[in-house]
Amino acid sequence: MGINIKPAASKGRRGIKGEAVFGLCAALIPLIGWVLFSLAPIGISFATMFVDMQGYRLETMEWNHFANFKTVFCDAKFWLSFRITVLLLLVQVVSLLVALITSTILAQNLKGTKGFAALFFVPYICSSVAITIIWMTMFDNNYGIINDILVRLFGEGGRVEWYNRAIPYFFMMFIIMAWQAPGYGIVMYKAAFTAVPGELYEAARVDGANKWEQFWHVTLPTIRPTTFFLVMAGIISGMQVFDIPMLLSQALGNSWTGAAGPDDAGLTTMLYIYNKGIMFNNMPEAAVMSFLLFLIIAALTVLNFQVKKRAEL
Amino acid sequence: MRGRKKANLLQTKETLTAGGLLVKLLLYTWLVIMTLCVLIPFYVIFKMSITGRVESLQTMGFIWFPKMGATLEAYKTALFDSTFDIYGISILKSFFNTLWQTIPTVLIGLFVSGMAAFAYAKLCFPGKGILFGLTLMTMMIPGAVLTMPSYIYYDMLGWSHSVLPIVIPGMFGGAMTIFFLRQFFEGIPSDLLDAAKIDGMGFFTMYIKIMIPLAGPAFIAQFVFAFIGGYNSYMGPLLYLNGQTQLYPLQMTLSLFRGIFASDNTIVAALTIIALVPLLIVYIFLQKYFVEGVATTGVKG
Repeated sequence: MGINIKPAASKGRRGIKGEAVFGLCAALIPLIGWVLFSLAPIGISFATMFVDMQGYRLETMEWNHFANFKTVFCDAKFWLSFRITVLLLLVQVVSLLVALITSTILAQNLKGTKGFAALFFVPYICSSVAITIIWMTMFDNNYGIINDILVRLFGEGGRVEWYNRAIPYFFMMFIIMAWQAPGYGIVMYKAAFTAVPGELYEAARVDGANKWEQFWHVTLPTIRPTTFFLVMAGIISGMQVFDIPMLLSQALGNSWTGAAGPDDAGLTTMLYIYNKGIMFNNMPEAAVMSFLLFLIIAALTVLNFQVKKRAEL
Repeated sequence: MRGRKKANLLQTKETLTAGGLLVKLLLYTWLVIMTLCVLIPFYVIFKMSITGRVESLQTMGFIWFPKMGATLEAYKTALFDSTFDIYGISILKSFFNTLWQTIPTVLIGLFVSGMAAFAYAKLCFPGKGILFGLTLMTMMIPGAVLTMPSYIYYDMLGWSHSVLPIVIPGMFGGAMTIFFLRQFFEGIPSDLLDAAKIDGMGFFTMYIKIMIPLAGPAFIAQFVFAFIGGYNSYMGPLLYLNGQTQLYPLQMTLSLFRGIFASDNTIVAALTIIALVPLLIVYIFLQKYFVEGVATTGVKG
C-alpha cells in the first residue's frame, strides 16, 4: 500500500483484498482437511497395494510384482463377500418399495398421517448396535418371538435356526437391515410428493385418468429425481454395509477367526476388508480390496446415470 | 402448499362411496401393519428389560408379559451396579464419552463449513469456481472405502490408539454441509451484507453476526443430523478405541456389555433401552429438524 493513495480508495482496496483473503481462507480450510485426512491416506494406501509389508510398518515395504492383486483375485472368500454384498443390495430395493408405497399413502391426507410419519422414521435414527441387539432377541432360536409365531402357525417343524444355519442367518441380517432402512426414503418421498403441482392431477382428471393412471403417469414421473437419488444413495451405502453384519458376526460367529456367521453367510465386503486389515494385519490386501470396492461402486454409479439418461430420452 | 396438498389421489367425494371406503380401509391396513412392524421390536426389548432375572432364566419360549410382574431391577443394575467397575466403563460414563467426543467436533465442523458456505455464496475470491468444484468432488469418494487407507495413515501419525482420528477430521467441515448451507445462504439478500460493509464490518464479524443468526434453522438441522451420526457411530470407535474401555462411547459400550452379559438378557435389554432413550427424547422435541437435516444432507454413514 503506497502512502499517496487516498484514504477512501485504500479502504475500498483493503475491502476487496480482505474479501479475497477471507474467502480463500474460508474455502480452503475444508479442502485442507480433505487433503490431510482423505487424499494423504489414499496416497499411502495406493502405495501399499503394490508391496509386501510387516504389520503397519511402512519402512518394511517391498515391491512384490502385483502379488497382492493376484492373491485377491484368486481369493474365493473375497468374491463370496462380494456376492453377499450384492445380494444385500436387495434390501435397498425392498426399502425403496416400502418407502414409495408408504409415502404415497401418507400423501392422501388420512387422519393421523403426521403421527405415522413421525413413527416410521424412528428405526432410521436408532443405532445399529441397539437394533442388532433388539432383533437378536426376536430371532433367538428358543426364546424369540419370531420362532414362537412360526411354531404356533406350523408346529415344531416351523422352528427356524436363525443363528446356526447359513440361509436363515442371511435372511435374519436382511430383515434387520430392511427394517432400519425405509425411514429415510419415506422422508425423501414425502418432500417430493408435496412438490408435485396439483394442476397436473387436475389436467389428468380432465383427461379421464383414474387414480391408478394418475399415479403412474403423473406422480411417478415427477418424483423420478428423488427415486434416482435414493437408488444412488442406496447403492453407495449398500455396497459399504458393515455395522449390522459385523455386530451379528461378533455375537454369533467365531469373530476371532474372522468367521461371519454359519458358512460366512454374513460376510460382506467391508467386513472382510476389516478382518483382513485389522484382525489379520494384512493391510496391502485390505487396500487392494478397498480399491476394487471403490471401482465397483464407481461403475455402479455410472451405470445408474446411464439408466437415468435412457429413461429420460 | 395447502392448495397443492389437496390434489391427492384420493378425493374427498369418493371416500363416501363403498369403493372409497374399501380403499381407505386398505390404506389404513398398510399403515397399521407398518406401525406394528416398527413398534413390536421395541416392545419386545422393553418387555425383556422389565422382566425379573429369575423369570427370564426359568421361562421357556416367548411370552408377551412378564408373569411374575414388572420390575426395574435390571435398570438399577445397568445404571448403578459396581460390577461394571472392573471393565473401566459404565453406561453413564460412556454417555459422557459420546458427548465430549461428538459435540465439539460437530460444532467446530459446522462453524467451518458455514464459513466456507458463506464464502462460496456471497464473496468474490480467486479460484472460487475451481475450489467449489473440488469440494463437490470430495463427496464422490465413498466413506467406508477410506477406512483401511485412513487406518494405515493414522497409525503412521501415531494416532491409531487415540480419539484423535474420531475427533479431528470432522473439525474441518464437510462437503455435504457446505453444499446445503451455501444454498441456504444464497437465499439471504445481499443488501444486508452491503450495508454491513459500508459500516466497516469485517467478513468474519459479518458471518457471525448476520449469517449465522439468519440461518439458524439450517444450522440446527445440520447439527442434529451430524449429532445422530456421532451418537450412533460404531465403526470409528471400533477401529481406533478397541480395548481402551475407559474411552468407549455409548455404542461401543453397549456392544461390549452385550457380550459380557450374554447370559443375562434383562440387563442387556435395559442397557439397550437406556442407550436409545436420549436420542428418542431429542427426536420428539426436535422432530422437524431431524427430518429436515436428513432430507437435505443425504446418506447416513
